[in-house]
Amino acid sequence: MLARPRLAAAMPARPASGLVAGLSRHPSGRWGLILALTLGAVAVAGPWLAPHPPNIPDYGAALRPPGPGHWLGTDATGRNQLSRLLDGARRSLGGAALVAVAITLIGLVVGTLAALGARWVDAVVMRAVDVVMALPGLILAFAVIGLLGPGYTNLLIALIAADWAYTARIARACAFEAVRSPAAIVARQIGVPEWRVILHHVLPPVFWPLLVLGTLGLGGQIAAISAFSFLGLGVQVPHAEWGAMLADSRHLFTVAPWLLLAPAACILLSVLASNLLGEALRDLATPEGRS
Amino acid sequence: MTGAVSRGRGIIRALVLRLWQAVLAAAGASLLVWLMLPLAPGDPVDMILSARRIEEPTAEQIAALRDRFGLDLPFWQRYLLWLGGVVQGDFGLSWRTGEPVWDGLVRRLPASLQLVGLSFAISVGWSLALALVAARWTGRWPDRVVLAYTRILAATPSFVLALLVLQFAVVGLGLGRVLSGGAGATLVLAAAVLGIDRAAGWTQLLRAGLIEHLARGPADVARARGAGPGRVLTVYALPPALLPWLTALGISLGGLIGGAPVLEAIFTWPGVGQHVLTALSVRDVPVIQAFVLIAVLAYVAASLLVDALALLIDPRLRPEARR
Amino acid sequence: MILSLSRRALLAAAAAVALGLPAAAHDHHPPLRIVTSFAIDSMNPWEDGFWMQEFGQAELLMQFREDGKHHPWLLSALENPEPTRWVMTLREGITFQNGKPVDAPAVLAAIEAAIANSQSAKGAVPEGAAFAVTGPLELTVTTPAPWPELPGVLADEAVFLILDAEAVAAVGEDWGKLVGAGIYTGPYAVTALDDARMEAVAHPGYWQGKPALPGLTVAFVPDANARILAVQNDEADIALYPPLAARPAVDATPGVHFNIGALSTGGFTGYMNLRQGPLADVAVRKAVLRAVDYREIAEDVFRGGLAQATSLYAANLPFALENYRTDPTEAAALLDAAGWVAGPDGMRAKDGAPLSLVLAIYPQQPDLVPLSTAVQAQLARVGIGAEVVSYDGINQALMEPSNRWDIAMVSTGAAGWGRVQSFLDSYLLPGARRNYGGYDNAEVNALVPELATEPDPARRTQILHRIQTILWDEDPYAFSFNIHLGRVIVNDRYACYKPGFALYHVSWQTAPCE
Repeated sequence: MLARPRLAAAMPARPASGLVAGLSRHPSGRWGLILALTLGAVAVAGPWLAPHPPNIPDYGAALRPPGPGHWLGTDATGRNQLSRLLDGARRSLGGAALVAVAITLIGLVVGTLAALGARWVDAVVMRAVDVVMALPGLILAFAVIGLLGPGYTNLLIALIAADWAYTARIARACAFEAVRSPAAIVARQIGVPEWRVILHHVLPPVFWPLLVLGTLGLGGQIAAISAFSFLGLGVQVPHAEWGAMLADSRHLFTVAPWLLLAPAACILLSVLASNLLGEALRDLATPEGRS
Repeated sequence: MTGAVSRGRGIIRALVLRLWQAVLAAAGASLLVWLMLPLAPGDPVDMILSARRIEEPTAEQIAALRDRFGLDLPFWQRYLLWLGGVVQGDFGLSWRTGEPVWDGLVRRLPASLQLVGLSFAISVGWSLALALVAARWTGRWPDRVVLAYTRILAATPSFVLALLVLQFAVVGLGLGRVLSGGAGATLVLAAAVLGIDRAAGWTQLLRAGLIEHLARGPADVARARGAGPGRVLTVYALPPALLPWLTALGISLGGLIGGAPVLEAIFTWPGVGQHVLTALSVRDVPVIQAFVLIAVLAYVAASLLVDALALLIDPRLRPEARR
Repeated sequence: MILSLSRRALLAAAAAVALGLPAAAHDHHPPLRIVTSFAIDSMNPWEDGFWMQEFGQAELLMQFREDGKHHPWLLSALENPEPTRWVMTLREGITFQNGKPVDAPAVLAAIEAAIANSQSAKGAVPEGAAFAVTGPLELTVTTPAPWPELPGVLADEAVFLILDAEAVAAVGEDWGKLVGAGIYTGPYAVTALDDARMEAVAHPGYWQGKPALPGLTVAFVPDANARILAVQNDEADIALYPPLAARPAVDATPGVHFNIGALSTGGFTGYMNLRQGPLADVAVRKAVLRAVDYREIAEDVFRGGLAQATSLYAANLPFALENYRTDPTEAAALLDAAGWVAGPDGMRAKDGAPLSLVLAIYPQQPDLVPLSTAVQAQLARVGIGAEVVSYDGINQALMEPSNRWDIAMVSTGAAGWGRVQSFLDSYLLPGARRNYGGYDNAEVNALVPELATEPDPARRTQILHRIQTILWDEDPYAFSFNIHLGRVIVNDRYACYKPGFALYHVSWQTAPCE
């Protein structure tokens, strides 16, 4: 959880075009892409695919095993598990995506500002980053939740707070080099406005490593959201989330194992997809790593 | 002679610098946690009362609590008082129990250290074995099996693994006990779950390092001189791949001092993690603050130790070598 | 022989020696093993002593029983010769576990120490009340105004535990020294207490007779699943606080039983927000009460794990009315008459504003999840929309004006240990600490203080009936969704164990089934 992947700081800039083609040629990237696209589509289309309302109980239909009508069975209050898994996907996957996007944006802004700004700005920002990075991510997340109280929004805030610093540091390193790259220097000398230099010569080389980092981190975020919700510190009732569904049904394992196995499988597949995709992106970014 | 002295000074200077950074990080972390406090919803008195399950407090009770925990003092004064206490080893009183925070944490530390230590040993051994097997037969079926195994394990949340072990091994097969009370069999099971879960990522890391070094000059030379694949792997690839791997492991060990809250909860292991979970659920702020500070110090100390070891082993990292 | 002694037996022997008691021969049953969710944090009698009452270490002067009445326990009689004077007579021959006699001076010392040290004891005693020794086994209480709640106060585990005040004073704040000190009078004396468990051994000189068990352990296991598995794995005999959701799994597992016990004195209580939103309209409030299906909640949603609410109070209390009824037709008529008309989708609105309520629950009570979802569905049947919001720290959240809520669902004891006054004082009176919804009813405001000093039982019942009627028919505000029932998970040996009433989990007769 919240692992900080090791990453070569300087990565070649690559156009986003050809990304999908590159991924589909990559042995693990192909599977990662298929899995991720499927899960993403399911999460987005969840409300339309769900055969039943996710939060409305039906006591007469409690604990039905998987079968026609309830393809993944029902829980202790007769709610359709498939519908709850689909609804939960929006919180498990959507939340992780939101955290990843927020971390990337914060990292991009903080890192680029540090690299572009005055020396003292750089020094202050990077010292702050150092302090946050000295905190183990999990501990920081626990501290935020401990102070703000349990809840889904607080959980997302905690995960962002725990993980933004590393991204900021990578972004700063990449932007620092890009600002001083020959192309950027030439562009400035021929009178290209500063904002265009940033847009064309600084942001693109920063973006690529952050994309890899974000994708690799996604799996950790999914696992973290489900773990915190499992502990009751994340998503609150009656809303569905995969980790919370696991926690709700754990004492029913002997009579309804499907209530434990299905959400576990969902978490496993999502983290797997993110890991496979992240590995493939890393390989594509560093050609020598393609073995 | 002079070379040895200056080398010693260089190491000391590097360590002092790292130590200074560590102190800064710890101070920064403590301030960070305090700065978040005003964001917390609710009056601290209400939080203390609900932490103690006092539903109908009297006015005297509220006044006594305000006085006892110094809640009427301004924020910065409370922080300085707290910091002054911490320097003397006094982390204040738990809001929930009124017991000194330090006593509660220290009492549970041995159990957590046992669990983390054993699981670390299992992780190291298991991932070392798997990575060696995978690298010895790179690209062939043992490697593929190991790779598939680590991918699935790396994607499995440890609490799912733990629930299955509890259900099948403890209740089903009668291994260990549900109410561990700190007993041995449960320790082995919990440590195995934690260790095997974590070994997945570490195997991938070491495997990549081994493959990288197998493709480098020294290994090629050894192979050209007729060394067998096993010897090339263990003598020429393993030692250089081991150092960065152990560095990564050491740092993550520092992050584990806080125990493994999820596993401790599932296996009823009486460690720090469970203690902190209880504190989190009732927002026992002094316990959370102390825990964060101790965890940061442990993490920083582990990184320092790893750095120092690396400095001693690898001369290229010494300051004078960089000049 | 010595080698085969278990650690527990050694402890028991050591404690018996420490207490100066002859070692009792208990070869009949093994010690009882209980797992509970809450840890006993210390031996501090003023803050954590109430747990000792629940597990058979400490005792009270009076006992609240299933008939809804208070019975003498350590007392042989409690009399009220005139409205402002109570006379308490102690049983003869009772001793503390350390052997000292429980006489009038000892009880007076315990009461005075409690008033000096325990906030809840101090809060329970009215201004000007005086306790005095009037005989070797007799105490007299005199008060400026009548104190009708005294029997309930004496039966409340958080007020006056009977303990050896001298021995307590001797340890200062070093509460750990009270382990093995035998300061209470119950059948089992504490011999060990740490983060994980409490251990107690039989007190052979117990006044009712020889305790049925050699001793007991209470293990603190916050995780509900672990408590259930502990019983299943024969590591515990009784698991307290099982989640109702676990019942199907327990029922399907051989060797473990989910036992349901007697009515409690509280339940999940609803409080309506009168400060804002649609519940300012009294017709909507009445409609909500009639739209809730109390039978469905008890029998379908919780499958008999909770009891059906028939009034604000549990049915076994002598002053409880039986005035609750579910009537969706009447609810619809009330709403129609008040101008809340149903749209094409069946949901109601008035002047374009939809009739939608926010149900506030809190995460510490997992049973509120199925309850709130059921209530949501029941309200929808009469055209009232509802969404569920979970607030952490519900007591503070509800008093915070910026938080939106219409019906708060809170587990409340409306008559804990048969005492009605503190609930009425703090939940219903204007400006009271727990008056979440801003309730202010002139008649209730007059009746509640009158009740506090009304000694006549007939008039008391009359007042309580009137308050229940106001809360249902005239100016609804607080209402019960259900009444709680005791529940435990037990193994085969304790299959006939019934959950203790009013949290008396262990008595001197508690034993495995024959």
